[in-house]
Order: sequence, then C-alpha cells, then structure tokens
Amino acid sequence: MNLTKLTIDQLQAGYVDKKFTVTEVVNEYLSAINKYDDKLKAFLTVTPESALAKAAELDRKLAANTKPSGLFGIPASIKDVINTKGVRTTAGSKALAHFVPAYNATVVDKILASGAVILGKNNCDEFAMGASNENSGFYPVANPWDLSRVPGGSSGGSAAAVAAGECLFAIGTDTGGSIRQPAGFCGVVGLKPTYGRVSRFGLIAMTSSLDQAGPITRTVTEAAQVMQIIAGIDSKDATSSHQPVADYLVNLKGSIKNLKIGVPKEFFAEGLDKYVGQAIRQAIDELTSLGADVVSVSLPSLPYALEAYYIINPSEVSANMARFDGLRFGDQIKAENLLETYQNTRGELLGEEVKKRIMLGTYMLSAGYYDAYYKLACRARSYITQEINKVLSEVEVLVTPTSPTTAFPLGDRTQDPLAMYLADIYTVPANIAGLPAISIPGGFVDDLPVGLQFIGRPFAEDTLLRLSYAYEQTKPWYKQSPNLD
Amino acid sequence: MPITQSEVIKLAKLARLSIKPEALPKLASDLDKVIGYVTKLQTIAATKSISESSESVRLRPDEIESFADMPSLIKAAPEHEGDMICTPPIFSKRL
Repeated sequence: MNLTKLTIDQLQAGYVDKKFTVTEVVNEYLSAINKYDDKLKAFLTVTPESALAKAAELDRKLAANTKPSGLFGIPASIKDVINTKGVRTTAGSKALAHFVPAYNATVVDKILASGAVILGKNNCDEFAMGASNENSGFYPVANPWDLSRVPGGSSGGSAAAVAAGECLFAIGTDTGGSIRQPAGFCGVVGLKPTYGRVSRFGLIAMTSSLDQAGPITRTVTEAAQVMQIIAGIDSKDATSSHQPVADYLVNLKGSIKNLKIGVPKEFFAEGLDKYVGQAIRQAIDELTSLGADVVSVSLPSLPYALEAYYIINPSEVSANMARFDGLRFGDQIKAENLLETYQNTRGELLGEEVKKRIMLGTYMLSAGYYDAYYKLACRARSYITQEINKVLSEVEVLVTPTSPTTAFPLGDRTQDPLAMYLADIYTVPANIAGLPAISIPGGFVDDLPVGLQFIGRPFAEDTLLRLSYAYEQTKPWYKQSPNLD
Repeated sequence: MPITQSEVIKLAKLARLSIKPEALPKLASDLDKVIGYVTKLQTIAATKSISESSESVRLRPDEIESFADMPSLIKAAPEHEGDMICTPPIFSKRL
C-alpha cells in the first residue's frame, strides 16, 4: 500500500484499525521527499527529527486509545514565509538564510495542536514576490507534471510538494493568487480565505492589506478539513475577523441545484489560451448539468484590478521590507558606516524582483506621485470591490479560469516583468476585494493541469467548498497524479 | 516620462539599496515598463466615477484600547525582563 496516496480520512481510519502507525506514514512521506525533491526542489528545509518525534508521540496516544480527529497524524509542510519556532524560516531569501524565529505563526500553532506532523518548509518566491517560483533566492521549483515548467508561485514549492505526494497538505499564502495559481498549475486544490478569516500573525508580511494564509490539498474535502482547523479570530492579529466560523464539512456534500453562478465575460476575453478557455467552458457546462443556474455577468472594472494591485503591492512592500536591514532582521554585510551597512546588506542579499518592487513602491509613495498612484489605486480598489460585491449580491459565486495559460516553461517570462505579472490577472481581483476564492483541478490541456476558480461572497468559504466538491465528484481529476519515477 | 538611470540611482538611495552599475539599464527598463502599465489606471479614473469622495482606505476609529494578550507576546521573546523584551546590542563599544 502506498501510504502517500491515502486521504486524511483513510489515514485516520488506518490508525484506528492499526493497519499502520503514524511513524510509518511519516517515514513514507520522508522517503518521497528523499526520492523526488532532488528533481522538484519543493523544500528548503526538511525536519525529519522533529517530525518523527511528533509521530512517535502520536503513536503513543493511539496506543492509549486516543481517537484521531482534526489533523491527527497528517503530514504537512509550511511555506517558508510562515514562522516556525526553532526552524529556519528564510522567506525564500538569502537575507534570512540563517533566521530562526522565536515563535510559531498562529496557523502553525493551530495545525500542530490539531495533531499535524510538519515535515519541513517549502520553497517559494523570495518574500512571496513572484508567479513562477523562479524568484526563490535559493533555487527554482519544478512542476511535477513537467519538470521543464514552472509550478507557479509564489507558493510553488507547496503546490508541487502536495501534487508529488511529498506531503498531504501544505499551508501557503496568497496575496495576488499565490495559493490558487500554483494550485492550478500543479493540479491540486488551493483555497484563499476571505481577508481576516485566517490569522496573519507570524506570516512574514509582504502586502499586509492583501496577504492571507490558506490550505493546499489534493481534494476538496481535505481543503475543508484543514480550513476548519486554521480559520478563526486571533487576538494577535487585529485584522482577523469576529465572524463565526462556518462548519465547512457539514454542508460539503449538499446539492448545488439552483445555486446562482455568474460567468464574468471579461475573464474570457483576449489573453486567455484557447484550450484553457475550452476546458473551463466544459467545466461550466458540467455545473449546469448538476443543476446550477449559470448566467453571464459583467464586471467592467476587472481589467483594472491588476493595475491597482501593482501599485498597492509595491507600495506596501517598500514599507514592509524596510525592516530587513541587517540590524533588525536578517544577515548583515558590514561596511564602514551604518548607511553603507544598510545599503550593502539590502543590495547584496535581496533579489532583483524584491529590489524592483521596493523601488517601485518608493517611487509611488513619494510626495510628487502619491496621489497619482497610491491614493488613486486605493480608490480604484474601493470601486472594484463595490462592483464585484454588487454582482455577488445577484449571484452567489463567480466562475473563472485560475490562470490564462497552463504552466509555462522555466525561464520563459523572467526577462519580462509584465508577462510574469499577467499570470495573476484572474486571481488578483479576489484579493483586491478581500473575497474568498478557490482553485480546483478543472481538466488537462496537453497533459498539463488547468485550474478552475470560484470566487464567493465574504466568508462564504462553505459555499465555495460545496460547489467545488460537487464538481470534483463528477470530474475527479485529482485521481490523476504526476509520474516522477 | 521614462524612468532614467539617474532616477533609479535616486530611488535606490531613498530605499537604502546598493545597486551595481551594470544592473542599472535593465532596472530602469523594467521599472519604466511597470510604471507605464499601472499608469493605465488613470484611464479608469477618467472614465468611471471614482470620485474624490470615494473611500480610499477604510479605517477603524482611532481609539486607545488595552491589548489583552500582552503576556503571550512578551513570553514569545527569546529573553525578557519583566514587561521588557531584551534585544541584542546594535552598537559595539568600539563605536
């Protein structure tokens, strides 16, 4: 039996029936990392000692007749922009190559308390800035479906690890699509919760008004199971919401009959790959045959969301990155005086994309340009949010492609920043409006996965999961897995 | 107006970044492309009713509140003395 193919429910049933132990499961996942990660580079740090110690502790609990629930005995990995106490957390940057946090992010504490076993830290674009994982300060990640292609980004290591069976689930972060786009490229499920649904405490901030942590899993049920554990208010995060957490599992298998779904015509315009468009239209037909009420809608301002994003993002980046100066955080390159120490540390240890965004933000926030860029982008954000929410008062969910294309070849877009930024064009609007969105496997084009995205009303993650589950039952694309042997 | 290499040098100085001279042409070109792209947002301002009264940032009332979980934050620090977090010295005695 290949234990890395089993679901959360199957693993926990196996623990109860004593078919295998947590230690055996963890060892099988660690073997998969040893076997495949030379090719994939999905991990920056692997923690076998602490993983096996936790597994042994859980096996002792099983021996004492503890009934597994939550994430008990489930192997996980954490994107390396999320703090893990005592475990190196680099944010994919050479600037933090030796940074060991003194505390866990709340999301890490929550999954650990629920019994998850953390196998290590996933590679990512430096400080989560990127859409291909080629901006990692260490090495790029390969897509498990085609090693010559990108896995997406910035949570590319997390999505690749889940797709390759190197962990059962991963916790990623999504600022402009960084959970959903790699999930789409790697053929797995990625959920970006409503802003405020999951605590940001302990995330290394990139764009504080947009960042959200969320699960990356193989199936929709597992996304619901992980989400149930990580959602909720946190007194350490002033932006976390008081809104009660829904029961994501109780209605998961409910009908989607008469669920009103909008198809925004602006997402099916120029720039969308013809075959990706066909796959998404087939998926929409499937939703209709399941009884959903699918209608065409219009969101005329959507094309501007990406422009607003690439003002708000670098503006907040330039502020958030100020702390990485070699004194407060990170490695230091000493110089003759304090200013040169700052300049050399940041200049030499930060990557090109990070420096580019810091300078863009510095430009856009400068006195002469603030109104023309940042203030205007904030207004546009309000306008776009109002427009999307108005449409979402008439339909419950929007359906779109996750990305305009399937995974592109490594190196294909590294010389053109705009081509890279356009990879986020369908995912950014949900971040701009703070809405929940999910990417699930929606078929294949030329043996590469296609992501199908659903965007919902604020805090309606349960509706997104129900719809996703209904589609997954009729089109179980997740049963296909990449061949890495 | 295109972003020039001298503007990149000025931005780098403001942002406390050292930039190698050979990196300047590509940086100037990339920054110029992105600035040119996002400037299109001004179109939406001209054609849509993003009025001066549009809410740009939603802020909660600026009220002083006591923080409920101070002990756990203090406890999370590697070292502390009472309610104060110990940090490594920044300046050596030599300076």
